[in-house]
Amino acid sequence: MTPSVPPPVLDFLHGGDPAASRSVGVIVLGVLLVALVARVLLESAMVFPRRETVRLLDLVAAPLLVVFVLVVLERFRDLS
Amino acid sequence: MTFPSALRWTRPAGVPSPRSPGPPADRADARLLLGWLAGLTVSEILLLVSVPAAAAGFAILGLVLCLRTALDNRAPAVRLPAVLAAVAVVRLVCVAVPGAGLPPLSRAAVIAVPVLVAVLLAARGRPAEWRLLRPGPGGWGVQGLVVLAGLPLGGLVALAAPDAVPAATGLALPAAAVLAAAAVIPEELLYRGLLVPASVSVLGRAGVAVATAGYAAGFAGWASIPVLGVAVATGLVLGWLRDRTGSTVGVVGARMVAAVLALLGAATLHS
Repeated sequence: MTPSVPPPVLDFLHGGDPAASRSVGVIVLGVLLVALVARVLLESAMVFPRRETVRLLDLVAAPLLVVFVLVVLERFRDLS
Repeated sequence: MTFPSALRWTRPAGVPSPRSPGPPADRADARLLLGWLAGLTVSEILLLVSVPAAAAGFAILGLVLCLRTALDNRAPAVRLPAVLAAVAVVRLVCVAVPGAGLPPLSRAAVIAVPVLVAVLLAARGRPAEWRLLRPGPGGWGVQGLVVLAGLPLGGLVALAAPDAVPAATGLALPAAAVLAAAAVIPEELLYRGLLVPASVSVLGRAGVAVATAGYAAGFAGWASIPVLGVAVATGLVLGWLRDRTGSTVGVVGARMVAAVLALLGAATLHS
């Protein structure tokens, strides 16, 4: 028993609408880009970046990067 | 040099302690924790309305925690914002990971990979007493006893919430058992290994209840009332054991035992 939403429930919640899946993908990509850009800006700023903030941005970006890779792999699998 | 007892200052009755209700930093952390719980619960309930809206809620929660940390001038006493952000990101991962064609158990195992990444990053720089992979003061014997808590919990899940056990479609039972055990390790490290000590460091023993609420909220958007009840019971029992024993080793073992037992129980009931 895990809090990860089971696929049948997820499909039901999406209501069979592929646009909903695309919307979630866009949100993931948006958060990933915001986290990466903020990290680059913090690193390149002439002030000392707050280490805690940089670590937090890493924490947000890294799992979403894995999700992004999984989405891309699934698209390749669907195309083949 | 010791002072005579008559010279020792004792606080007169009715004079509040200077630390009650807590220094400003503690109050700010408590507000952060309770605000995060409210935001998480609202996002989970949004799952009932729209998955993209819930995903947006998790995303906003994670980014707001980053922004708050960037604007916070004081040095955080604990890794609270990192742990709270990790939970929000993990919930976003849970709804965003693809795998409509995968069996539920395989999808849960795939989700475990980004969740483990989030846990490893959230655990960086944690206090030494937040033992994740080392036994607590009681040693390995106590942790072994804690593992036994997985037996009643697994039975409870199999009997009261069999629909919450991911079906082992298309998998041999031993492989399914290994996948089920592997899938729960990262989330146990997150919810019991990091969230419980972070909450307890801010709210004391009440932190176990808040951490349980954060864990059970993950079921609020899709699970039935019995499943929600079992999730609360699991969170309270394992959270209390983790707090008492000071280590995550035993509760991770208990959760693995419970997952395998629940899987076997569900397979037996379905056959």
